[in-house]
Amino acid sequence: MTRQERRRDFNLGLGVAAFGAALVLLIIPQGVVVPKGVRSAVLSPSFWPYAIAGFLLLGGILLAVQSRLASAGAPDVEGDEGEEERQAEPWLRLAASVVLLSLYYLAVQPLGMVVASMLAVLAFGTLAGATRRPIWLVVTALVLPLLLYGFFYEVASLPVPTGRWIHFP
Amino acid sequence: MSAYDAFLGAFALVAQLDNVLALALGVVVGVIVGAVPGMSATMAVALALPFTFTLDPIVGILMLIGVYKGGIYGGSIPAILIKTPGTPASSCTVLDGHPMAERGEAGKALEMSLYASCIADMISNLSLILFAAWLAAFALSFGPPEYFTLILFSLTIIAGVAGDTLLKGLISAGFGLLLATVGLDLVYGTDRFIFGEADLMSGLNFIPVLIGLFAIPEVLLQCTRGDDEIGRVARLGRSHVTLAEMRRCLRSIFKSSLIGVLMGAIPGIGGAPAAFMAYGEARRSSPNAANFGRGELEGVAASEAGNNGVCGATMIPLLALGIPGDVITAVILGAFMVHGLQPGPLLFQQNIVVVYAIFIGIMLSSVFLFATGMIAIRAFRRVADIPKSILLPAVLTLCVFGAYAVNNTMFDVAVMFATGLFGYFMVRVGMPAAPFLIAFILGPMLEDNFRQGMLMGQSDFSIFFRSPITWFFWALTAATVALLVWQGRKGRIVPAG
Repeated sequence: MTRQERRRDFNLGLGVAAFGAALVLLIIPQGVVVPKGVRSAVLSPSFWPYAIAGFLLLGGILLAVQSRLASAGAPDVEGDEGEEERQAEPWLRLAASVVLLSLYYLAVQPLGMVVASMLAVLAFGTLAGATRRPIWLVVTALVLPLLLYGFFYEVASLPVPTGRWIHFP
Repeated sequence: MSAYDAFLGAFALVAQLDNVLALALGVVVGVIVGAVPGMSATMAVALALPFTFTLDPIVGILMLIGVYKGGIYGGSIPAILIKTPGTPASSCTVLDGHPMAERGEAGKALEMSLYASCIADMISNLSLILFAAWLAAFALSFGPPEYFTLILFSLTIIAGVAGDTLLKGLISAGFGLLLATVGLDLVYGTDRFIFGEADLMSGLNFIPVLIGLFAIPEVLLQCTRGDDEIGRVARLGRSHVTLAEMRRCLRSIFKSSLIGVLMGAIPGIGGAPAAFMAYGEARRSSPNAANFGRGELEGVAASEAGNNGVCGATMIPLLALGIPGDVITAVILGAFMVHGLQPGPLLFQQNIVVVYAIFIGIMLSSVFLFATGMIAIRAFRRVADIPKSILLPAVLTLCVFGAYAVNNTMFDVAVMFATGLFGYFMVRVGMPAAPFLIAFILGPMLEDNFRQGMLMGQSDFSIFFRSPITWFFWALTAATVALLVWQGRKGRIVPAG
């Protein structure tokens, strides 16, 4: 295990433990409605969430301790020093993907699922590196959403959103 | 009427062209619909139901059975090829099927999936015909405490799919259990993590969650890489299952089929837990245990035999007792009733010819499943040859349509995207996704049966030790945990030596 991986696990453990604590202190009291007159604590709607929260809290602490102990006991395997620098571009690409996912979701209502999907295939295909096969990408973008529309709308009779401006038969 | 006469009458009933065609058509439709992510076998059967109203009872019922079996098998195709399980029952197949496809062995994984499915289906059908009464009596002895101990034992397989880091696997399972608590409380009907959102009241449907967890991270990973893999899969994608490999996996297939039969006979369990339990058992007893989760052929065989072993067996409580074992058999029960037939003990006395005709039709469906599967493999294996930069955006579109189709709401698409981002985070921090999924599927069953058991026992925990079945599953759970601890200690000692 490299130093970066141990650091990652330590941070993950702390994060999970903090989430477990937030569940116990804030999220469960706010999010779970416990009716009056619950006969037994184990029958309460909040029993199971509290049990899971405790499990996450404990698991997070154990993971953090385990990674710290591993740091103390194991020889220090160096990670790639240039790795963080090279990872900057993937994070930008991830951010672009998340933005595209959000736009895809938002575009379904006004444009309809078919047109939104055509644009999404083009955008994600470009981001995923399909620019070397532009014809295949365009053909996929045009044909696949229409085929899916035909199957879901015409065969399975599901009301696929058709959008405000464009209507398919 | 003697059994022989009844059998001859049933044979004459089934051996008509329209019956055979209906069954074949049902299997084909089932495989196609099951292969579309988001379209479960349940939806396929429900969609086919109205078409059977005008058909003869036997034709209609056989068609639905064909759709059911085809749908369960069809789910394994996208699970292997594009890491997107078509049905919850095939989610376990992803664990080894997709790594095999990535290695260029998609054809082999698909073939093994088909062979295991057909063998398990046949065993399940034979169990239905030969042991229906006995299995129905066994299933009836299951109450909430027995279910609870059974599901608890099933959860021990999380350790098997957690990979190298058990602790991260357990944390992943914790998140799965937590997500499964969202929705209205089943005992008191109060809100749990709904926060005023009406769509959350019925909880999160597992199809958008499992599609999001497995398929969306693949799309995001490809987008973050941005490179275009050419031809790697295409060159190697023509491998087949050899006789030696088949022989090696046969033991797991038979064992998993029997697990599927037992789980299928118990109402309410379903294919997904059966597949996970069969997978866990195969991994425990396999000499290649370390390879499970990394593209082990035996893993594909076990999970597919487990989920298809359920198919015939779910008909046992339906035909023998008139109790539908799951949603699909509930729909089939509706078809029986539409045609004026009431499944249960009386059906065997009053309509024995119909029962035998169904038995013959069910056996025939295994043959059609094999033939359809072979054609489907040839048609679908080319999917593995498509460059990822084209395939994954197409998969994303497929997932959006599929997630939307579950409840006809964009909310499920949002759930899929959110789960997908969480799945991507899990990949980045090295947290396995399989324990999350297992816990998410089994969590509600575990909690419901725990609370029902506590209600039955008036908050006395001794209810969970009330019968030999509960003791049996407690003993299995304890033995599995002890084995894990022993293996963990051995694992620590061996490298040091």
